Amino acid sequence: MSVGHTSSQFALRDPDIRLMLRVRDADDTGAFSELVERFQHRLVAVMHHLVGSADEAEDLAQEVFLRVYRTRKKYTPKAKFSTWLFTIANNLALNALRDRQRRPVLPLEVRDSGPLGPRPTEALAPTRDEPPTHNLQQQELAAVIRQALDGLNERQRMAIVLNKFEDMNYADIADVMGLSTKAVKSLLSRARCKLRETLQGYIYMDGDAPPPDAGAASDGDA
Amino acid sequence: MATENPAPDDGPALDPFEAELVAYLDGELDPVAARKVELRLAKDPAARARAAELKKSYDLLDYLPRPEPSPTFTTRTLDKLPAVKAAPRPANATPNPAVSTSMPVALEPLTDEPRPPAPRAARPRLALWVGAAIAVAAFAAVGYFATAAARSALFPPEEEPKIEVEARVIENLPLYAVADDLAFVTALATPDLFGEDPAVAFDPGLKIPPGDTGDKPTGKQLETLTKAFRALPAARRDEIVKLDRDLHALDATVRVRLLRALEAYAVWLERLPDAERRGVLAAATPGLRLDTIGKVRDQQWMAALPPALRGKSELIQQWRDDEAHRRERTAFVLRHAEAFAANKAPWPFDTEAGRKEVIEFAKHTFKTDDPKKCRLSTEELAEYRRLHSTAERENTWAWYGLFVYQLSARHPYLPESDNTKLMLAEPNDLPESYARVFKKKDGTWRFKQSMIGKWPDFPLEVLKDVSFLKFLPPNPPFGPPPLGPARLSDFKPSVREFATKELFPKLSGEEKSSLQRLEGKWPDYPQRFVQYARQHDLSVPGVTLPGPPKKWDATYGTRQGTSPK
Repeated sequence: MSVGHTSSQFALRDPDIRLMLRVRDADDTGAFSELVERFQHRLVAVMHHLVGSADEAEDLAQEVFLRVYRTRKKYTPKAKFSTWLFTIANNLALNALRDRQRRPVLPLEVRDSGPLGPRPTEALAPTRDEPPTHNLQQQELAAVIRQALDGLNERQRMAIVLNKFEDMNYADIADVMGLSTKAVKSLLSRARCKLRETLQGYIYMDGDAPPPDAGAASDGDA
Repeated sequence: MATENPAPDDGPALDPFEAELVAYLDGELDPVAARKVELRLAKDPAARARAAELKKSYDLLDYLPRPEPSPTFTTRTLDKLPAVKAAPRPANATPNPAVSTSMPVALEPLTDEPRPPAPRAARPRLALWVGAAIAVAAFAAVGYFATAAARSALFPPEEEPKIEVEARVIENLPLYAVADDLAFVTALATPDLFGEDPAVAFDPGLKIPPGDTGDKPTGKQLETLTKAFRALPAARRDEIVKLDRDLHALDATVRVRLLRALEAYAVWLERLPDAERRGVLAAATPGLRLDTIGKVRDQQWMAALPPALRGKSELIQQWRDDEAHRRERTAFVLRHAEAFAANKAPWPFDTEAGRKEVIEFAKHTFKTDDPKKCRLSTEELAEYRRLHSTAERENTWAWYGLFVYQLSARHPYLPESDNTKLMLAEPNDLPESYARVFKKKDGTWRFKQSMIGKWPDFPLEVLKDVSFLKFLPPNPPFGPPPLGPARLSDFKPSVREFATKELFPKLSGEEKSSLQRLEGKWPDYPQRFVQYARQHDLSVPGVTLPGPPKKWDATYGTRQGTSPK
C-alpha cells in the first residue's frame, strides 16, 4: 500500500481512512460495506434534515456512497474520512436542492395521499395512541421547526445541519463547504438569527418562564 | 478554494455582536473575544435575553425526529456497485463474493460439478437437515482479520483426534455456517433473540445427554456436507473448527442451550425474505450483524401484534420493561439458587458487621430516617422499609441487597463536607447570581418542592438548567462559587484519608492530572473522584456501597458484568 508521509499519519489515526485505502487499493467491497454500515445513520440523518423526505434522503445518501466508490481511485487521505464524505454529500445535496427549486415538486405526504384525502385510520390513529394534546404538540412543533429549517437558504441549512447534528466545528464545516471559517461564522450567525425570529413564539412553550430579564428587554423594545 | 463572502441571498448585514454571540455559544471564540462577550452579557440584560433566545431556538431543533436508514440500506447500496475489475486477491479466496469479509456470507447449493464463479445476484439458500437439497456455505476469506497463517498460530495443536473433530464439525455445519464465533452464538442465545426464557427453561434436575442435539445427517447428505466443508477457504475452516472447539469446551447444558439457539436462528434465517437475509449476512462485523438481527426481529414482532395494539408504543414498552424486569429477577434467583435453598444470606450480609455497614450506608446516603431530606420517592421508601424488615425477620437479605444496589445506582451520592455551608440544599442558600435566575417576580422559586432540602439532588437540579447558566461567568473570581465541595480539602476527613492512602496511589499520571483540572468544579470534581474509585474497584467511605464495587456487580448486577442504569 503506497501511502505518502502525511497521509500515512492520517491513516494511522483514522480507522475509516484505513478502510477507504483498502477500497481504493484492493477494491475491497468488504471494507466498503463496513464504511457504509458505519456512516449510513449519520449520512441519512443529515440528508433527511436537509431535504425533509425520508425516501429522497436515502436515495441521496446512497448516491453519495456510490460516488465514494466510483471515485475511490482518486482518493487521497488529507483530513478525516468523514470530512471527505460530507464534502461529497454537500455537493450532491446542494445540487439536488437547487434542482428542486428550478422544478418544484409537490411533496407527497401521507396526509394528502389521494383524491379521497386522508384514510380514516391514518387520520385517527395518532390521536388515539397517545394523549392527544401531547401528540399534537410534538407533531405540530416538529412541523413548525421543519418549516423554519426550510425557510433558510440551502447553504445556511447545510451549515446548520452539520453544526447541529454532526457537531462539526466551524473549521470542519468550512472544509466541507469550501468556505473560509469567517464565511462560515457569518453564514451560521445569519441562519441562527433567522431561526430565532421564526421560532420566537415557540421558545418558552414548554412551561418554563422566560429568563428574568427577557421580559424587561422586550418591554423596552415595544 | 475557500470562498470569503457568503452568497447575496444569505440576507442583510448582521449586527456584528450577534455574530460574536453565536460564535460564543458555539464555543468558537478565542479567549479574548469570549471574555469580551462575557463582559457584555454580564452587564447587558438585553444581550442576555438575546443569547437565551438564540440558544433556546437552536435547542428546539432537537425536537425534530431522528431519521434512521431502512435495515436494507447497506445491501441495496452494495447491490448498485459497479462490477469490480479483477483485482489481486489472497490465494485462498473464493471467487467474487458479494461482500468480502471472513464472516458467514452467501449460502449456495453445491453440486459435484466444479463450481463456477457464483453470480452476485444468485439467490442464497440454506436448508438444514430437512429437505433434499443440502445447501452448503461458500465463504469469502479476504477479510482483514482472516489470514490462515495468523490463525493457525493462534490455535494450539488439537487435543482431540482430527477425524473426530471434523466429523462433529461436518454434522453441525449447517449451523456453524451461519455463525461467527462463540460470542456471537452466546448473544444469539439471549431471550430477546433466540434463547429460551430462563424462567421457563431452567430445570436443574433435567439431564441432557451430551451431544444429542437432533437428527444426524447420513449417507449422501453427509457426503455433500463433507465436500462443502473441505471446499471452504482454510481461514473459514479454522474459524468453524474454533467455534466447534469453543462450544465443546463448555458445560453440556450450556452447549445444548447455545446450539438450540443457533438452530432457531438458522431456521429463522432460512425463512427470512431474501433482502432481509442478505442484510443480516452482509453485516461487516458480528456486532453489526446482531444489531441487524435485532432490528428485523423487532419489526417482525411489531407486525405480529394485533393491529389495534400496533400504535400503542407506550403500552408495548411497558410490557417489554415488565418482561425484562421479570427476567432479571429470575436470573438473580437462578444465580443464587443454592444460597436461597439453604436460606443463606449472600455477601456482604453473611456477617453481622457486613449487614450493619450496608444498613448504615443506606440510612446515611438515602436519608431513610429523615422525612425532609429523604432522597427516595415515597414508593421507594416504602419498598425499602418492607424489604428491610422482611430481611431482619426472615433472613431474605438477598432481596434487600439487590434493592439497595439498584437504589445506589439510581441515586448516586457525592462526597460530603464538614462545612455545611458547602452542602446547600435550600433555595435561600443559593449564591446571589443563581438566586436571581431562579426567583420568580412574586418571590417564589422555580423549583419543584420535592427537590428542596435534598443533597446533592437540589444543587444538581439547579445546574441542570444549563441554558441559563451558560450566561453566568464561569467561575470565581468572576462567577459564582461552586455549589458543593469541589476539592479534596473540602471533603470530610474520612474521604480525604481514603484519597491519600488508597485512591491516589493507584491513579495513573493522566488520571491525576485530569482530576486536578477539575478542582473547584462541582459536581465534576467529586463525580470524577467517585468514578476513578469505582474504576479501581474501591469504595468511597460514606459515598458508595461498602465493599469492592466489582463484588457488588458480580453478586447483584442483573446482567453479567454490567451495573444497573
